[in-house]
Amino acid sequence: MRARHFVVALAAFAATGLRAQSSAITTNATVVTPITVTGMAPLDWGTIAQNSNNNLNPNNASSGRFSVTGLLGAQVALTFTLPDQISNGGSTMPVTNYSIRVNETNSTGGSNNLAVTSGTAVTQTLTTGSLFFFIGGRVSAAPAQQWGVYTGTITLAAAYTGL
Amino acid sequence: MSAVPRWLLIGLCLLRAPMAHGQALTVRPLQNLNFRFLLPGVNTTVDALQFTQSGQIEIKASIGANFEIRYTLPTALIGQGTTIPLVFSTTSGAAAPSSAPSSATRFNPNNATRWRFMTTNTATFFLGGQARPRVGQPTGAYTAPVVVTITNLGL
Repeated sequence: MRARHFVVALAAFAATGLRAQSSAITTNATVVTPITVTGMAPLDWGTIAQNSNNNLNPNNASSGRFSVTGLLGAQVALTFTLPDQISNGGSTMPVTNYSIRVNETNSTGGSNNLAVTSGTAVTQTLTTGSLFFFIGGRVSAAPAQQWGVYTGTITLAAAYTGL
Repeated sequence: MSAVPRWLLIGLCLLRAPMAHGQALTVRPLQNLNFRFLLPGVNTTVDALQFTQSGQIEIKASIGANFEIRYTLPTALIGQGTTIPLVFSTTSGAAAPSSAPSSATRFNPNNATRWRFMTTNTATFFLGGQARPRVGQPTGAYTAPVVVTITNLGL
């Protein structure tokens, strides 16, 4: 009887000494179609007189326009980089009061306001697979503003964040 | 004292020595290996030390403990009625004391690897890999299990 206990004790310790444990994780991925970002039209203030402002509404036909297309139903992070000035050689004019509207069709009719901070991503859903953005803003010419053509660059970066 | 209890006492003492140092070993999954978004026809690699995406498990044991870690790796992700091949290279694994993940050492997760707790009692094991979606790969979610087996080798 005692000998049986001894064998049992040995077996118990042996089992503890070289025990295997298993754990599991998963590996996962989501296959998506590429996102396409297209600059469709420049934000064009046209001609502006010295010592004046020009407020361009995003609903205006001269507003800047982007389109984003990708996987139907996917969430995307959109990052606008909006310059705070446009330049002509060494001369500059400040740009302020950007206003952006978004729509699922290439039309400002029925578009919604999109609150954007330059350089900070906002999330949108590609409910129909496409989004269109309309950009307005305000440019201000100084009293002695040098004449000429002023330009700047607005960029839009898009990346998938979810489905 | 009869002969049997004396042997029993000796046997227990011999076997108890490593137990006194605490051979208990715990395994905890921390994070899945996530390739996130794949484009058809574009191979995507997650490095073991891409901490936000690599697969991670944590192992706790006593200092001085030895163990063997063995991954059962999938050959493909499965989803949408099809598969995406997976490749794990000789450097797709990395291990480090949990207190210092930047000091990780690489290992081949295709082979069993031995680890000894030298200065801390917690280690993190990281797993990367490469997914190879084909051109025309159907969109949608894909997944596969990774099983990790840890064998306690004692002190």
